[in-house]
Amino acid sequence: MTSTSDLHTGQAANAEALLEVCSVTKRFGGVTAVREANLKLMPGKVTSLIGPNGAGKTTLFNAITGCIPATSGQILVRTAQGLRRIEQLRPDRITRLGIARTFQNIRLFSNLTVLDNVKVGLHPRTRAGMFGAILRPPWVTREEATITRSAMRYLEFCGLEGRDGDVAGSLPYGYQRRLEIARALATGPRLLLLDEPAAGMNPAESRDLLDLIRKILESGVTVFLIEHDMRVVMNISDYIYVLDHGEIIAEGTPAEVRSNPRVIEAYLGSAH
Amino acid sequence: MTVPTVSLLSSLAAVVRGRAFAWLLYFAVAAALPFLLQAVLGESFSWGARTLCYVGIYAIAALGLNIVVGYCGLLNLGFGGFMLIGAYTTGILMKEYGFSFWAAALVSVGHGALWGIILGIPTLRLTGDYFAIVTFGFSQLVTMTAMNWDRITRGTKGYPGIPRPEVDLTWIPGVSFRHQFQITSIYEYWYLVAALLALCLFVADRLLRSRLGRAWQALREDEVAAEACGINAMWYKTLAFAISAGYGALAGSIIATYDTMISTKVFDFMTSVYVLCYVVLGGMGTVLGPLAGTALLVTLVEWLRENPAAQLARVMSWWPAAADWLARVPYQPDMRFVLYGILLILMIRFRPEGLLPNRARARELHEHGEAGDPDHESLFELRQR
Ligand SMILES: Nc1ncnc2c1ncn2[C@@H]1O[C@H](COP(=O)(O)OP(=O)(O)OP(=O)(O)O)[C@@H](O)[C@H]1O
Ligand SMILES: [Mg+2]
Repeated sequence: MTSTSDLHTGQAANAEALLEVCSVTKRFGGVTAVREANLKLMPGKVTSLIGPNGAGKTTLFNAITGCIPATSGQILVRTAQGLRRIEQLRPDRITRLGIARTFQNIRLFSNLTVLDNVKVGLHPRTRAGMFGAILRPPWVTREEATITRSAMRYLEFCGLEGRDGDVAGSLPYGYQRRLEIARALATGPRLLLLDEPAAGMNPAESRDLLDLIRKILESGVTVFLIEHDMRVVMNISDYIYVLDHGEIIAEGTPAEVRSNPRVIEAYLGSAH
Repeated sequence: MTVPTVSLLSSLAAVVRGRAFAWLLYFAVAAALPFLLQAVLGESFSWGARTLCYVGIYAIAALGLNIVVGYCGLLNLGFGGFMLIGAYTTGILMKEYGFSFWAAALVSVGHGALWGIILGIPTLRLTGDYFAIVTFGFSQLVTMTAMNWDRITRGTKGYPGIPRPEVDLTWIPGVSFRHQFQITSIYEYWYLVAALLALCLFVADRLLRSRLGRAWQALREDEVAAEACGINAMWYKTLAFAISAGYGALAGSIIATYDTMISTKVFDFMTSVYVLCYVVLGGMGTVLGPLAGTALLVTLVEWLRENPAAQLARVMSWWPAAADWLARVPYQPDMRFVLYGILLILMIRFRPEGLLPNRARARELHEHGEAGDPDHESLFELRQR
């Protein structure tokens, strides 16, 4: 038991969390999709959220990113100016605070080119407006050149070089997932939320994805991951939360979670 | 071929593809068109020139509506309302307050944009169909106001006596030739319209190929994902709505001085529908699409005022039997709307992406038209805000 408590002190108390979810509840009519959830994301680590289908994982992501605001509870993010509550903010404001996400059902701008998708991701970090667009003064021309250059860099980072001119909707599935990650990274996040990025991938593709997530970590971005693929989760996670019927039933390192009887019963049991 | 020839050819190709060449072509064609029409049409030249001016004016309206419908993907059924606002603003300012056309047009654009914002802020939160219905209601409201506010608009009697635009070039040093004159001839009108249309094309093109245009297209493609990319949906939609309304008001203010009078009937609900047809059939989301759509449909409606069968009979004189039969086909000018309707149905059936479509939209309509858009499965998940 000693090893467990050591790891727990690493996760809680004095260490500075990047994001804290404090007793967040989300109800849809009579359905409580998330109930009194508490969790912390440590900077520079991969935290994973697992649980059976319909457990409320995506709902929790939607609450954090402001897509579907929580019914009650607090969500705090650490910024340069200290802790900031974000549970009431619009999604675009939350993105600007450095929280980016991908979607479980891929949501690309499917009629735009691959390059334009990533360029849209650079939106919060650029500033040309209506008059800039019409008059196109030199600083706007320079900004556009910078946008193109860094968009190409994000494509390369995610292994999409040479695909920039393709229409996003015509990409193969695995590439679409990567493009969504590239677009999210382009917003300049400190925290990246990935909702089942390995879904529908073959073993080779999910190995590539693991490499990509490691690269993202190395570049200083914290990762919060929803994933059903246990090879991916157990391989890369520093810390895991287990959600079942909207409640967090267990948390800990991969080893701890794997041996937790409640988890085996609720989740892994059903998978075996 | 030698290397210099190849590089010369490729740089020539780049020039042809480039915007500078397109503008050169535009101005050359615009300058030559009235003379071409005169040469081709002979005595029915005035019909041709009038049609040409209408094409130009309505193309400005179509470019504006395209910003909301094509760039942003919002259905606006009340665009005529903004045109009416622009027409009355210009008419009243020029006639009652002695404004020059240029000042009045500028104020009209601002006034139209203001109403775009006033209408947009409370309604742009509504989704698709509801938004379209509210815009329809707005245009009805504008028409009703114009019809009943007798003291200002003279109501259903119409608003006559709007002066023609004046051109004043005295501020340019060294200009001696006709430096101050009123635009009266149809030639001069066309050049005025062509110049304003050029400005509108320029702005529409620059907006589309900018950070702003990308944000609009992202909102059109997937609003949830666009917001997750840090785009403030309300702000950008309101901006699109305001710019679009400004375009509509400009078109209205040109029509007011062109007709020298305003009748509330000129901008009824059908105006909104027609302009929408120009955009949709020309090709949504491109710059040249609305221009092509307006040119085709306006010309068609004007041409069909006269019995098309009889017109065909005249050129078929080499086959007397057919010409004779065609000449006896009965026709009424109102039948042109039936033909117009048939054309619309055929277009939607065989070329739903429009005359000059944007590449991606054509792909969407032809490739996975029926196959069920995978995006729609997830709408349930996130649209309930
Ligand atoms: N927009 C919504 N409106 C109503 N109910 C919803 C909505 N979104 C989710 N729910 C419900 O909330 C519960 C949790 O759903 P959620 O999508 O968060 O599960 P999940 O853990 O992501 O499951 P999966 O592994 O299948 O992705 C489900 O019962 C679902 O039906
Ligand atoms: Mg989910």
